[in-house]
Amino acid sequence: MARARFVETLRVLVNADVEFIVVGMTAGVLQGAPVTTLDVDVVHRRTPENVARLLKALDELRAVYRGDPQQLSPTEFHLAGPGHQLLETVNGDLDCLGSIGEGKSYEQLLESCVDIELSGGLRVRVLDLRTLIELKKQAARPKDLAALPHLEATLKEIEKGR
Amino acid sequence: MSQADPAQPTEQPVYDENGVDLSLVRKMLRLTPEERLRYMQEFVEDILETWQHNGTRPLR
Repeated sequence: MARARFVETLRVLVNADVEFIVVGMTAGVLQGAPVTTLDVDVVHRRTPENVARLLKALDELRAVYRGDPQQLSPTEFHLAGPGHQLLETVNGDLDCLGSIGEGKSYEQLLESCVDIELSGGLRVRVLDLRTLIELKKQAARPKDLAALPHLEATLKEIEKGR
Repeated sequence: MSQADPAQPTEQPVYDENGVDLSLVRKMLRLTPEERLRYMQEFVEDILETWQHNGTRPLR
């Protein structure tokens, strides 16, 4: 089982000039939520140019479909669609999502993002906490509902501190 | 003892109405985004190592 290296995964994507938004619980952690996750979820821009850059980054990460005995890698066709590509890499698990929620794409999520800087000047675009909470409420699966109190408490504490 | 003594209870509530431990929320908010990610990463790595050691497979 590969070690989980969340920052390093993001670094490879940024260095390959991939346009993406960190979503899911990693987005929550980056904004202070005391939660954990085993993978990094990103929504990528599905233009041919960006998919080509993403494929290059995934090649560097040696990404293959998670649990696939054939160890198949995602293709341009897969990444250009709205579906979810659940991958494992040398840095741990990475989900490349063509859309989230009710079909929301990279472009549609852009206005609901914050830029977060990591070490070495690494800047990542992250879905803001308020939108993350809205999407979890819409999804309303048990795992989403379970995360909500932690995300909402974090948002409240941030707003109290403003 | 000074007010800053960490052993002293604060007047802030520790749990919210949903039972969320607000001391953990406040602790995370004191860290930088990267520190938060690395804190979680170390925690997850420990879990994965324990799973591996015990032959446990994660549910997907």
